[in-house]
Amino acid sequence: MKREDLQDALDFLDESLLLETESYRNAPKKQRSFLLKHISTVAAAVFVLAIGVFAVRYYQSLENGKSVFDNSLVEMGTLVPSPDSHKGDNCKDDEQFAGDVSLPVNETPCEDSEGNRVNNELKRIEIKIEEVEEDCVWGIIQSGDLRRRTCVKVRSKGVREYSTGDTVCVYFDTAKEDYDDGHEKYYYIDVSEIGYISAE
Amino acid sequence: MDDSAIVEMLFMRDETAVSACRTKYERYLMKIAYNILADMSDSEEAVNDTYFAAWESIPPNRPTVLSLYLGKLTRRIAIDIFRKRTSAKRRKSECALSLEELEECLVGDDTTENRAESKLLGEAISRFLMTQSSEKRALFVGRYYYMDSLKNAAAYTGMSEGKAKTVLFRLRAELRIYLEKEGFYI
Repeated sequence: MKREDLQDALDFLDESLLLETESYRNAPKKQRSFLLKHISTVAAAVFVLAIGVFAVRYYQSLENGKSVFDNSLVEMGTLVPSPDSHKGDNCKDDEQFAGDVSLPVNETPCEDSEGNRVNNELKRIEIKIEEVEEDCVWGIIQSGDLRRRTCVKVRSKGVREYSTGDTVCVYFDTAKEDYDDGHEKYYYIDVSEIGYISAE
Repeated sequence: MDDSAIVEMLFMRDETAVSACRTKYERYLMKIAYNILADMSDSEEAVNDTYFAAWESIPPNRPTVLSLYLGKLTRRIAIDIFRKRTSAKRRKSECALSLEELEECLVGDDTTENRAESKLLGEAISRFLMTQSSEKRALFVGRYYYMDSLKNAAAYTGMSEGKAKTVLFRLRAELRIYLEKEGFYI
């Protein structure tokens, strides 16, 4: 049997098969979904984008002298201060750092200056203001082990409304690393966005 | 114009039937011919011969589906032209590629098959294809009867090219076994 014989035999295919195939050939081409068709391209693009974002953030963090991993931990809700972070002029407590701890989250609702509870779903921390400067206030996180060693810099346009001893309640998600001066780690919190004062 | 009207005109030896066929099926037939010959002028020749063959064969034949009838004529004529080409002039076409793929279905050495055997073989292939899904049938017939490119056949059956290739490979392997069981081997 030659291969041409097989090809000749196709001349005798059932006409219903030819008609069926004709319907496929004449129908608009079936389009696979865009996502399915380009899934590898989409996946590659997402991967490259993720790498790009990570690289940018990494180099930005290098400029600040801080690893991007620590930043990520801050954003994820876990702070891992350096063992030296308890040493600082603005930190009154000289207790030794007792290892890695999570950023304390105050489970009680924040209240505004009028004592109204703030209705929010976000986690939050309270900071006791230690010092008020021209454009920022300095404070200590009020709960957990971090209060003895972590200094927090709170900046806001309305900073002069705050006084030493006030407790500023902020959402935890806004806590971003500010800088590390070699002794302490400072965290920038924009109170103007979500901060509230609970006067003591 | 309706196919049955064209056939009636052919029966009445009305030459306008040929121009009606040309108007309605020129593009369709050119695609079939070009898939086989991969040459525009040869394809035009095959299609022109198709009209002549239709004129000569209708009557006595009265095709129920004119497009299939003309398509078969074009395919047969184009394959004949293709086979007449010298090896030096032979070009890489879908016909050559599909022949190579179909060869995998063959068992043993070649012998001469007459037309009756071809008919039996064609019927056996039809029976085999009837056991397959609609998409697979269309893919097989599109690839090996119409000699569409793998890319095109995959597209109109809604498959990726890679999947279509795999499906065809499996179909050829299954067909080979089926034909062996049916006694189509030497």
